[in-house]
Amino acid sequence: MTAAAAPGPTELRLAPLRQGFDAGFAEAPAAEAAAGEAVLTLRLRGEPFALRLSAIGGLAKGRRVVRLPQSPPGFAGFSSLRGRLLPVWDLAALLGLSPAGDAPWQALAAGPTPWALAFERFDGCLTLDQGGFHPYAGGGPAAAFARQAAWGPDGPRPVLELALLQAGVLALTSSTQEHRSP
Amino acid sequence: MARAEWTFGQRIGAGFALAALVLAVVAAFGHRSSARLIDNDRLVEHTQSVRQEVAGLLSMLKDAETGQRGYVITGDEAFLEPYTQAERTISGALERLRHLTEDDIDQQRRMEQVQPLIASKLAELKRSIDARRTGGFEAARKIIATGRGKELMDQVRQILGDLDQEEAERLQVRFADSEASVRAAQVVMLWGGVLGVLLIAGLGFFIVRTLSREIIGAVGHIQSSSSELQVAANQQSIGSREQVTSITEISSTVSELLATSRQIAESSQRVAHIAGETAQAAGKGDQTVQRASDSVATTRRHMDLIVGHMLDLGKKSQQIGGVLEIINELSEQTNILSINASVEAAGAGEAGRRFAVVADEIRKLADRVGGSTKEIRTLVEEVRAAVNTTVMATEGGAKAAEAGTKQFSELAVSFQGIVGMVGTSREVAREIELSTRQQATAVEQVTLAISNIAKATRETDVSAGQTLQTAKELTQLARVLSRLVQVEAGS
Repeated sequence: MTAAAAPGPTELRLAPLRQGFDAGFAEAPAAEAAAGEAVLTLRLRGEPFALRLSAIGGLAKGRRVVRLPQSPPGFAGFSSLRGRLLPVWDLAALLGLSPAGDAPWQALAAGPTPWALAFERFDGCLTLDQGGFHPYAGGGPAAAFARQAAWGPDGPRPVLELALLQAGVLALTSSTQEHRSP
Repeated sequence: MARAEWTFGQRIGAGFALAALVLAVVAAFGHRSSARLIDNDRLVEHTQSVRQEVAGLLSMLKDAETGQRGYVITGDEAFLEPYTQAERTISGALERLRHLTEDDIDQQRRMEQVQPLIASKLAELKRSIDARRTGGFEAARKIIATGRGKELMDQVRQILGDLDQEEAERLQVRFADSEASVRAAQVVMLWGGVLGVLLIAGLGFFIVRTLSREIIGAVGHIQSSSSELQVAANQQSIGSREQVTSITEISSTVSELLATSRQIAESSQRVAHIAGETAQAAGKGDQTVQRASDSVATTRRHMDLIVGHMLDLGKKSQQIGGVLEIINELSEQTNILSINASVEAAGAGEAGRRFAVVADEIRKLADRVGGSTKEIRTLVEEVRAAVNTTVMATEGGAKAAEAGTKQFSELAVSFQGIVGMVGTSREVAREIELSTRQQATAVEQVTLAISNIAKATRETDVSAGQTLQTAKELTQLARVLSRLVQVEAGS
């Protein structure tokens, strides 16, 4: 039997995880969550965006969305989430981007009005302190729905405001109704 | 044969033949005229003889009659001497005259007539003489007085006169013929001689003129040919010298070729020896190739095992990927649950704050698990790619090993072929050695032939010099001949 081989990069990566996981059982429970605000990071057509976790009522993936005939543009259909039937809107379409062919992720909006946003890719959750947020001064599709930009490890990304998105949805639905009424 | 193709001898011969023909004609005419003249002379002489014989015969008869008269008158026997002489010779005269006139029927007829008359005359003379002797003068006178003697004498004179007249007329004719023959001979000889002289002169002029022209032309040709011959001889001499130089170089080259042929023969012998050793080495190489082919086949089997193991490893990697998908799904679900737990904790107010911390830690752990899962997926993909690459490389190696096996088989066949070809090469090398030795022998013969050629070339050079000298002499001779002929032609 020869001497033990030198640890590879995977072993080097697994070691701190294993130690952290083991150490987690030995640490005292945290008193409270770390200060700051958490945002969901996502991507639409490859561009980074963010949603405030406080504005989200839930996150789901792979829920079936039933499309309706003669739906307004950006309306993906209806879906069932947490025992409630709610409309699902395509976030990319609301931002004026080309509609996504496959948007498996749905973010349930918090608040009394049940509605959800569908998007393509979920990157993760990012918790930033107040220094991590800056006013959003960029243009593009997020200009009408973002006031701040969250600076994460991969750069700034506009933080979409659900209130503004909901207003846009309402404007879109009202214009559609006006368009349909003779 | 055309006249232009006649040779000088033929032309001169023809000219002389023509002149000789003219002379022959003239001579023939002369000969004929002379012959006729001689014949006429002979006939004239014959006629003269006949006339003399006639005159003699008549004179004999007169002498006999004279003697008879003298004796009758005188009774003296001495007067009978003419009679006796005539009686003794007259028969010979008649015989000669008959002989001279035997080719003439008329004259013979006259001779037949005169001969009995003469006999009767002589008989009458004898009777009178006998009568004188025996009876005296009177008896003789009576016989004479009968006139028989005179009558016979007149008839004899008449016949002999006719005969003489006939001969005289013939003599006249023959004189005329002789004169005509002489004149004709003179004319023929004169004009024949003139014609012959003119013909010979014309032919001579024609032949000289023609021959002069042709000789001048021939001399011109000879001069030009001599000049060309000189040039050719000079060129031949130069060419012979260059040829001698070239032959010397060829001789040295052939000597080198001979040495090279011998070296080739020795090299071929060594090649045959090396070919034998190569055949043995090729046989050993064939065995080595067979062993190498077996090794390659073993390697191929090992590679097949490696491919099987690698394919199993690929399947295992796929299975790991499937497990990773499950883990990823779990981490994703955990993440979703933690987020939803955070949302719910936020909605629970102060009571949910600690739960929110736990949810946040769960989410972070899920994030780490998700990140690690991605890395593991990446690693598994790399492993799968490496496995695929290894499988492909191994299959390529297997194919290469298979190709190597095939190539080794071909190599074995090639080695066997090499063994055969090396044997053939050894035989060929031996044949080359033999051929090269024969070639060396042939080269020696060529060297000898070249030496002979060099000798012949030197002789050719000498001959060219002689030819040059001869051409110069010929040119000089042509000039002399041309000058002679032109002088002749001018004159």
